[in-house]
Amino acid sequence: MEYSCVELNDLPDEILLIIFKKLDNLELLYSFQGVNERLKKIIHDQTFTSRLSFLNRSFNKFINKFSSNIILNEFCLQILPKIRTKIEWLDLESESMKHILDAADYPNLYALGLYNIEEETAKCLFTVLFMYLDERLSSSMFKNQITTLIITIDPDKQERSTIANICNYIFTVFTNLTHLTFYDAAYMNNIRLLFNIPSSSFSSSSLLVLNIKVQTFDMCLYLLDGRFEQLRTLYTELANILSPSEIENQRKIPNLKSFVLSCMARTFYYNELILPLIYRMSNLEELDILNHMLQLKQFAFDIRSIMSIKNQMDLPSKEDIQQFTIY
Amino acid sequence: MAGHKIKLQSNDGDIFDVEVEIAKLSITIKTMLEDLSMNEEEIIPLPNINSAIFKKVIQWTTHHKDDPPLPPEDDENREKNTNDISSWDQEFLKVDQGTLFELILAANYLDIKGLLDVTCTSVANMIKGKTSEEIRQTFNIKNDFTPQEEEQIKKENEWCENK
Repeated sequence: MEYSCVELNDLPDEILLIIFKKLDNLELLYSFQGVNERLKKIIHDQTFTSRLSFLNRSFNKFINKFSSNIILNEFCLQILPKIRTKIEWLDLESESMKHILDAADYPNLYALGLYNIEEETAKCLFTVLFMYLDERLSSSMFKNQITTLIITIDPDKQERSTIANICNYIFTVFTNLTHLTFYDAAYMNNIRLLFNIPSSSFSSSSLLVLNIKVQTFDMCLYLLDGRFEQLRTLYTELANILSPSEIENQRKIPNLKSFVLSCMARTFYYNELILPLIYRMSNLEELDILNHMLQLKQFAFDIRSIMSIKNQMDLPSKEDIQQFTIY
Repeated sequence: MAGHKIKLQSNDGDIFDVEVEIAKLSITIKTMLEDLSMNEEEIIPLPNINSAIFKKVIQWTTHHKDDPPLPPEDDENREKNTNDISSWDQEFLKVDQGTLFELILAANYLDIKGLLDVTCTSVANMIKGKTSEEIRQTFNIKNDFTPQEEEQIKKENEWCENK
């Protein structure tokens, strides 16, 4: 075959975009930052700069993407200051997050993913660092501009009160938060909300979407007792639904449009606990089983069979399940 | 109809008899045949592709003629696993850089999504883990920053390395 002289730099922008989309944004920025003007312009496109993730997922936890401080320093000193206005979302690991947040001001940053957080880091980060950043920038915008927060708690440093305490810091500092998600790298690390009585700072007037794992049904009732008055969507997974609660709460939840409740453990209190809670959600649009919900648009269900091998098998047939769904 | 052939002409004049079903893996050729109602006896010119590259394209499409269509790309959740090139494709792509880039241009012009995807993946794999200087050397890219800009980059690099 004849030798061809087409080179990478001869490819049109549309093809370079296809190639670059196959690479991790950070690796791309690192590799092409100082190559030439044209390529620098392409990699500074919003596609590659709006969301930057400084972590990788190992089999059960998140780790820093760059083990070398030299590369991290290069990002903080050279790359981030040049693209700071394009950054909207940062995913950060606890060891490097201060360094990265302090590297530049990010006027369009609205989302933060903070991974492997522990209680002390959270306290320090949410209060001291953000106060410092706000002072340095001569405005109180930084913490106010964050509307989306993803939190993963360090599984090695969790205690029962961890989530509740971290929530208290979050709701005190991020006054315009609309989306809050607690996320675990692996099921075995599940960290759940549990407290005796929630503190008064455990509330938000701006929160719209909450995704959180809780220990008991009582926690679910606390989340829906009016402390998140604007809440539209609640995804919650319970460890167990054991006994009728003593929490008196009949307050309607008219803003809630979407409610997802899952619990792997079996409960005998569906009628006593779950139904009354659902009755309070008068404007629910997603996931419901009551026929007076006139705005119901979607009904999702998941039927699982647990098989105990004894002498006899008594599993619901396909016809039984179809019959159930008709009603 | 299986076995039915059409004639395609590369930009250096060679004419190729290609099975319609294989040629139609190119959306560009499929559109020409279906929407423009081109006569089957007509020779379809491919002004952007030389015969050497077109032979490679036919080799690839013949091998992949029964592949299921690729799912549409989702920008939000784009997969960044760039190592998933089949062993046949890896062998097929053992070519010089110029040929690889010409194959990309041909796949783009002919609109063959699978070939474009695998060739771009191959280039992405060549990029992975390289510094700017290594990228310049690997792909023979001239540095067009001004001497002042270059000096600034060097200074910043030294500062980073000393930290």
